[in-house]
Amino acid sequence: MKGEQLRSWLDGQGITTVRTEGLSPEGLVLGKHLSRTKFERSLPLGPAISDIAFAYDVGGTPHFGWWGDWRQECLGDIHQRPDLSTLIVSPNRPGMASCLVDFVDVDGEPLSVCPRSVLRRVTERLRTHGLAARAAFEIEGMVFAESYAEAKAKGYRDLTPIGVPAPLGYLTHDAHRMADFMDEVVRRLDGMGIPWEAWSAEAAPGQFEINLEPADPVVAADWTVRTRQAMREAAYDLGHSVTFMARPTDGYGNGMHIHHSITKGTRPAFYDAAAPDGRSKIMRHWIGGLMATMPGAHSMLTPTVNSYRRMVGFAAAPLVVSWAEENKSVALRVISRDPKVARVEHRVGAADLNPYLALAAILAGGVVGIENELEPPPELRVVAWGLPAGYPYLPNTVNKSADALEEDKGLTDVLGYEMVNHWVQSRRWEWLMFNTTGGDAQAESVTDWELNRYFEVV
Amino acid sequence: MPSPVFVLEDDAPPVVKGVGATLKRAAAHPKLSRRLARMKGVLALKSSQDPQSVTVRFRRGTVELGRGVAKDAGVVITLDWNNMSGPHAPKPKVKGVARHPLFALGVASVLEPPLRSWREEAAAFWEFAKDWPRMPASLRVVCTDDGSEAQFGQPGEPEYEVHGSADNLKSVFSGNSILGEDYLNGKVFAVGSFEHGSVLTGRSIAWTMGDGR
Repeated sequence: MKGEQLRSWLDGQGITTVRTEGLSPEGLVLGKHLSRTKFERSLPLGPAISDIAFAYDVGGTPHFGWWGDWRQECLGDIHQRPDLSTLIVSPNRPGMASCLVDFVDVDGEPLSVCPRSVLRRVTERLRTHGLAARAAFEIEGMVFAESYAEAKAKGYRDLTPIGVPAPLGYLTHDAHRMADFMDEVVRRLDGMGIPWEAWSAEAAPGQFEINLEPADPVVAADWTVRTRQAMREAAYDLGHSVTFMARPTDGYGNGMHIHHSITKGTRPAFYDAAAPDGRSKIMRHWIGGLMATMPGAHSMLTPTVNSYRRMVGFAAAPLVVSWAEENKSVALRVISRDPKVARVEHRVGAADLNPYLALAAILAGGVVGIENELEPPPELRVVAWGLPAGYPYLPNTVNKSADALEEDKGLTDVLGYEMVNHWVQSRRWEWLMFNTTGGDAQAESVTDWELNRYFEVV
Repeated sequence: MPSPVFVLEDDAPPVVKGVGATLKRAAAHPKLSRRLARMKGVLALKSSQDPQSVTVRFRRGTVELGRGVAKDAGVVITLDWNNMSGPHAPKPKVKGVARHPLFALGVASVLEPPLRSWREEAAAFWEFAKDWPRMPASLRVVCTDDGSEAQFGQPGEPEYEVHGSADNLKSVFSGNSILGEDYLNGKVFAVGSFEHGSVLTGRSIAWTMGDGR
């Protein structure tokens, strides 16, 4: 859509304001509300924002300690280049449109640290092998009766989950209690053209899961960003609060499972009817790559100090580098029984992940496997929780995961050095902030520091 | 007498690394190194402002550091890590001196190793940091007490300048404080780009936590 076609669309929808939205590496949705005139005039480069927006942490403190090629020597501008294929009418703000963006420099070149651009770059690398990916996100979070203001006043503790006070997943009368909220959410998703498949009450009180249809990786991540944003806004409008923290309470954690499959032309590339287990050579190498790169990718799948609170025994989060056919306790649940459903469910991700970066890290691992023809280790046919020492446990702190990513040459090659270096340094910064601005390094449960920092923004 | 061996816990928090760095600096002085090698006892340091704490076990030649305040700590010092010097710095509270006077005396000396001149501390920092990616090619340091200065790196126009009193320069270049923090708090002043300020601060943080020691 451009030129007269764009003008006609804006006229037809009665648009007076366009909100640009893009995700920073930290996972913050950044944008501006532009008058229609300004929006049109800003094209194709889009509105400028200060590059500092990509260089502060989720608490608002500027990062110190490193510098990337994408930054100017002092403070400069970056641009939010609208992807006009994502232009939609806001379902809850008459006259407002929303457009997702890629972050570019003043010459229009994608920033090396723009998460959306990095994911696109990885899919292009995959395309050089004649392959394409499709992905779907399972979004988990928790909704509370209190408004954000009330939740903040209570220090985000002792909140009232909307739901039955028992760890019972799928319970329909539990779902009924959160139906006002979820009905409004799906109404907004329908209005935005986001194809949701299902939602249900999850195991923890107030916990929900919503599943989106599979799509091209960038589109699937776009939908996830918009769905979480719609949920935050719906909660606010209804006087509730919702969070995507990995572990906002001492109860269950929130994960973000990512399903994905690979196609070659129109055929499912993970399936081979001639193979005894149905797994194609591409799938074997793909799993081999995901296994080899999992410690490093873990950094982008579990980005915050709070992400690691979820990684405790028997809390449904994978703890070891592992894969298996139809085993929900392992990191990679592989399904290869049928070409229609052949896929990998990557179960490591925490709810607070950046969907572009997490999916980019996963696909990059698959690319590494294909390019190096890696074979997977034996599948883990036992319960992957409560395993003794000697099993390949995933890094268990934000710092150790950053170290693993920094050491992973394969992921660095596919994701790009600038992206990996920025991410690694920013994770070490997060660790530094936790330890030196009030977080408790000895705490075994969620701290006030985490709640104040993450509850409303991740 | 061999130098003491330092053992830090796995994935040590910054405060553990920082105290370890201070003790390693002490070990660089022959007299304090000998004292460290003889010391036996358990010391705990805890912040009066936040949950940061560290336990140091001196085992006659081996120094073990880990997070937390151990129950068997003989000497416990409570202090404000963000405000340890200057005229308004609160005095640390020390428990256990009466029962462990010699150990407490030893602790006091090894926790405050003597600083060299600001010029020597700046030279040591530059030597540690100069080859890091994106460092300025040259650093000019100006002491505002007397206008004396030193330049490190390539000759010619300096790419970054740090100005401050002798005490504040000694603090930041020895690793007792962090460049970016001192800059934001007005303890030192700087002339240069954000890029160089950021990278220098990164090196300053690493120096404070014991890298290169």
